[in-house]
Amino acid sequence: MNAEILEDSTYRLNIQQVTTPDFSAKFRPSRQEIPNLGYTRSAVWVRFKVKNLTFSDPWVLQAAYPDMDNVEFYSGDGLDWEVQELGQTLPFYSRKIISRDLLFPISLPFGKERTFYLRYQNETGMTLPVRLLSSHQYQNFALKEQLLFGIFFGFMLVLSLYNLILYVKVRESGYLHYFLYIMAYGLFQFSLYGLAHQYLWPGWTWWARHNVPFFLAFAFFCRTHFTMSVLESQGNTPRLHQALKGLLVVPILFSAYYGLTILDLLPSAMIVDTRAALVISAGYFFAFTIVIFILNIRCLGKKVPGALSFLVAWIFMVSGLILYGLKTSGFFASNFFTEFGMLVGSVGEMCLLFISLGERIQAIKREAQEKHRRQQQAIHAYQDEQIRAMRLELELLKANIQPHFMLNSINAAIMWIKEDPATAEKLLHALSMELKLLLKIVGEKVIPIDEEIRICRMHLEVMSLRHDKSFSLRLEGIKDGEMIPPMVFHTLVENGLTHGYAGKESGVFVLDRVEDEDRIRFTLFNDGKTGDKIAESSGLGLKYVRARLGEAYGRNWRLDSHSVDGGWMVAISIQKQGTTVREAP
Amino acid sequence: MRILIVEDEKVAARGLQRMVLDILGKEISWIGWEASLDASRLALAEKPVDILFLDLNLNGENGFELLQGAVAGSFHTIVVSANEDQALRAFEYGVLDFVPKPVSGERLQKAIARVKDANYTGKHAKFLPIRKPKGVALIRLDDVSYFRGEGNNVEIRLKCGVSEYHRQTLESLAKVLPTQFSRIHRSYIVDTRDVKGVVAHGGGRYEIILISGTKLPLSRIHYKDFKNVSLS
Repeated sequence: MNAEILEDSTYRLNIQQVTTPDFSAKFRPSRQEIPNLGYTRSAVWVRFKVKNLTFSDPWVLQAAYPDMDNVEFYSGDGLDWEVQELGQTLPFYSRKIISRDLLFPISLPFGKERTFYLRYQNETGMTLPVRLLSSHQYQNFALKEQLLFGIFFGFMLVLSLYNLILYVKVRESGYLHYFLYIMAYGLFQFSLYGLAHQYLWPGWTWWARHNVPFFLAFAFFCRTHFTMSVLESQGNTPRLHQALKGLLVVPILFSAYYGLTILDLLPSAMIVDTRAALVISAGYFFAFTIVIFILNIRCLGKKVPGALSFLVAWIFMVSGLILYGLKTSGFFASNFFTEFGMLVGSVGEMCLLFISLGERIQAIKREAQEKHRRQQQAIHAYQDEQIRAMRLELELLKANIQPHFMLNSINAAIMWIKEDPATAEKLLHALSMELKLLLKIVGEKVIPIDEEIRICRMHLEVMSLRHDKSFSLRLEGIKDGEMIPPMVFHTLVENGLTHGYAGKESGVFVLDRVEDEDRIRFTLFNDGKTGDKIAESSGLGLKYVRARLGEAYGRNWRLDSHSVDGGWMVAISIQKQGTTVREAP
Repeated sequence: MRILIVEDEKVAARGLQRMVLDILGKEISWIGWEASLDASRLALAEKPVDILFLDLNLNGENGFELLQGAVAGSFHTIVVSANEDQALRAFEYGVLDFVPKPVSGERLQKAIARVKDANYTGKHAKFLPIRKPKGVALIRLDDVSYFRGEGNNVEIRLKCGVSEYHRQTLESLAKVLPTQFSRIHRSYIVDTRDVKGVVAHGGGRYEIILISGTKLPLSRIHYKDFKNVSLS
């Protein structure tokens, strides 16, 4: 088919004028297989001759891509012209052949030749894939195409609904962004292929012409949110996150702008034509692609979960769009690959995005589990702390009011009653005094040292009377009122008594306090027996003492227990606040 | 009767000694007091005693150490302690009684009565500590098939066929053994669960057959306890 083209920049020529010899001579033959005049505001006339050499009838003329605004088809004998009109500016139900494609029926008797004219008007590119097909051929083609569309859009619909349900169930915003993105991007493509005009808004011509940039903008908006939430760009790449947020303004403005134009709220001077909108989209798309690409690479470097599938998905999408753009602008020949490449790319992209989202959700789940585990640990640590404090209290009570101690003391008192009731009385008084003092300090974390000393002395008295020996405590350098953890010296005195005095008739304990610049040092000496066995078996008491010191002084204390000349000594050094523990030389 | 008190507190020991003297009076031929494990072991090795009064907590030393050795001796051990939570364990090791502190005269009298009561048997013993050249070994009473007395010694026949020897009279031992053990003869005590049947030979001669096939003499006075056990 030899098509000749005339570009009418005046926009005013009619069929009578272009058929005059003047203009007739201005038609130029097209050198491209698919004529492409790029983005032009001119009306374009196409003239071609057809001679029917087959018996096949009727024929259909596929005049343009479905997004053509307006195409007029002139058929006639050269004097009378019959005109048919198609395009997005007309309601879909005015079409004679119900199809997404712009089709004109041509009827031509066998052997006859006739000249036809087409007049195009489009703001979004002038690519003119004019094809003449027998209706049988066209039907075959359309059936296959419908199947592919069915598969593709069915896939998109199922995937989007699936994600919507997931969102409702899981309440993870990633799923919502993904749902919206598929919907917007699906509608963009549905519209691009003329299907939206056919099925969704057959009468709404203005919207049919303008929705493509809107859906694309909205898709980018959702896609950006989706990217930010899946790759957690705020935390992973804060600066790129800011850039992306800046880019988000464009689709928002776009959407607002379109909203206003739809509602006719915008003064006419502000109405940007579709072409300008496309140019803005392209620029935006370019900037956006670069930011997303860098962001993706960074996230990949940081091993962000889902980053790899996200990147590959992005490449799929971008190559699909580029492919479509190149096809539309006539750079590539129209074939199956260029026609449906974008759809196939989209399917791939959607799958990969879904995988990426899944990886992220998994990562979130792992993180949540980890967090839960850490919380549990913290709770356990706190409980342990509480239990330790409680156990210390209990330990104090058990060690000192334990049945063993009480019963042995009472036993001794009973024995004394027979021998010397006055001593029995003394013993019982000392025992009850020790108990009273003990009950007073239970639950305290620190007590005045003089109280501790009183308890120690009471205990020594009880033990003296029980054993019929004489135990005493001497003090050196003790400051009354100084606060110390309870029952530390008492426990040490008790340890000393338990181990050191079998076979001895008396015992002396000396509690000594020395203070220097950065520490206070208490030493408790007793003149009992010494030996390794003592250190070994006094372990339980020392454990209690250590726990108490730890509770009161953190790590700023040292305890040394060893035998010395004439007895045994326990030394406790307490670091004053603001100084650090020095290792013993 | 010779008595040793092991107690780390002088006042308690003195009091206990006085109470024991009140109860046994002239029956006592000697009564002594030791405060530590080592001294007690020496005392026990030096002169045999009939009753040992033992405190389980001696100046931080674990009285159970002495307990195992003590019960392995031919005398009876009565634990006197404030640690009542250790009573059960003490009984498992075969002590005759556990007198809790503070000691009451009444309770002490009951414990001493057990020593004198020939028919008294313990219920709780699970182990029998016996002296070995290298120290004290614990025999699980569940592993014992029968005891055979011979003067001041006892042969302990284990179910696995091995014999152990223990220095104690069968009469003294009978008091601490749990109820599953039954006297069948002047010289024998068997684990009744190990008895397969009884054979009457006529003329008042009876024999017990153990599961292992071993035959042991059964005296006429004990025959009534086994009448119902027929040989299947």
